[in-house]
Formats: sequence, structure tokens, C-alpha cells
Amino acid sequence: MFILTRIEERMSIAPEHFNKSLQDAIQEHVHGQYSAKFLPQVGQCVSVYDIISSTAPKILPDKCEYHIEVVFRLVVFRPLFNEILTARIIAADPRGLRLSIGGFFTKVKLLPHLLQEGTTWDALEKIWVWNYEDHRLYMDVGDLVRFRVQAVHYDSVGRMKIHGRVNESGLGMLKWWM
Amino acid sequence: MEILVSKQGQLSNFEVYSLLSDVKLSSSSSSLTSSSFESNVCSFLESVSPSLPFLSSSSLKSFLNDMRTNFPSLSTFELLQFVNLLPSSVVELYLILSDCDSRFSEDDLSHMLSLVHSHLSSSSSVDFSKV
Repeated sequence: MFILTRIEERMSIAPEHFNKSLQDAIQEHVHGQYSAKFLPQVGQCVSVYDIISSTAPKILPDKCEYHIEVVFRLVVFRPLFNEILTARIIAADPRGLRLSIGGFFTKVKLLPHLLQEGTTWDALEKIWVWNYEDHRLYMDVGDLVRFRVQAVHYDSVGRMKIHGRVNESGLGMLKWWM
Repeated sequence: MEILVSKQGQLSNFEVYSLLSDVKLSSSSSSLTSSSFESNVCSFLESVSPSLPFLSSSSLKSFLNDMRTNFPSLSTFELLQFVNLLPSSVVELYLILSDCDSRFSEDDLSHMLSLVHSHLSSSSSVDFSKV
């Protein structure tokens, strides 16, 4: 679910942070810039992992702040192909289901052809139903589903989207397998 | 900003949970505050893996050592899924292990589950409200 991404950045530290240690000032700056932000073509930043190195700070002419080049690592949410994850169904329509992972990542889709074999859209109840033997097993909005990562895509601005599948034994609604 | 290495390595849920828990603990003594996003991630990890607060680096290391010794064909990805999913049933093992039937016997699968139970389990139940 999580990877480490290594980044180099030139940053400016403003005078109000001069009373802190260099390490603390850098940590706060990186944390403020990246926590919860998305990195195009990479994934959703979660937190700073560590600060690897930094150059000696330089104060440029006519500037009050000091500049520093820092190499650091971030914890990034980016699931792997074939990984098994748990998420909550937040929307359902004939085009499929949309899921939320922990409330912090909501661009997960389950498309109809990747649901359990025998799953159909009930237009009256507006719900996906797995017709398994004599049973009608519902995929209720708000309930939890376990899925396998089928693909990780990036849109034109580099935002991550995940397609999942549940068409194997053990996948689908958690309540089906408990 | 320059991305030097977009994927330098993978982290287990335990490692991320430990990191975020440390950020929460240290934020009270510094001006660095744990964001609500980080708290959400932390709560989510705790809810899908109730054993996480009770795990330790040493318990994970001993689990991985035992798994590698007894089942050397397991890939790094499969071991990561073991540590993240903490399987308790054969159905879950089939989700983690590729080509399970041809690689492992029923006894192997029982052994794997017993290793998970002995190293990584807790008696807590899942708090689904936080997922």
C-alpha cells in the first residue's frame, strides 16, 4: 500500500523559523508542503519518512530567508498491482462501484465485468447483487469490500486512480466470507 | 522539486503505523503537528489490522525469518501481503499465494497460519467503524 519516494528540493526558510534547529525547521517545512498532497505520477503523500541530507544554509543578497537544498523521503500511498486491500463502498450505479480507502483515498472503482461472476445490477433497488446458487448477496453502499488491485492509472494531471476486481474466491463483501 | 527515485522501496502497514504513531507522540512536544490526514491513515491501519498496536519489529522479524526458513519460495511481495493482511484462514492464503495448489500442501498452509497466529495475532476484533 505504501512506498518510499526520494525527493530533492531547494527550500527557503523564513526568519520566524530561525529560532529552531535546522533539522526541525526542515522537517516542519517538508511536512507542511507534502503531507496529504498528491505527487503527480507517484501517489498520495502521507508523511515525511526521513531527511537524508541538506546543504549548508545560504543567505542570498537582499533576502531575509536562508536557502537550503534538502534530500528527503516521503511515505506515499500507492498500492501495488495484485495487492489485496479493504475499502468501503461509497457509490453504486450501472457503471460499477466507487470505493473509499479509510476516507483518505476515494478514487477506487470496481467495474461490472470485474465483479463476482453472476453479479447483476438491480435497477429497482439500485444495488449490485451477486446471484450465487440460490442466494442473492448484496453489495450495500456503506459496507466493506475486499478487492485485488487490477490496475493503477494516472490521469492527465498525474492523479492516481485505482481499478480493482473481486472476481475470485475470498473477495467481495467482507460479510460474505466471515 | 525533483523526484530522485519515485519508488525507493515498499513499507509495510506496520512500519507506516509506527511512523505515524511516533509523529502523534512527538507532536505534543514540538510545533510539528500530526495532520488530520495522517490521523485518518493511522486510524484506518489500526482498524483493518487490530494487531498493529501490539506488534513489534522483533515479532515481525522473527515471523519473516521463520517464513523464509520454512518456505523459501515465498516472494517479497507475498511476505509483504502476509504482514499486511495477517491471514487467519486458508481462503486468505489463496488470495496471497500465487499458484497455491501446486506450490504448497495443506500441511504447509496450516503451518503458515500457525506462524501468523503465534507471531502476529491479537485477540482484538476489527473496528469497522474506522475503515
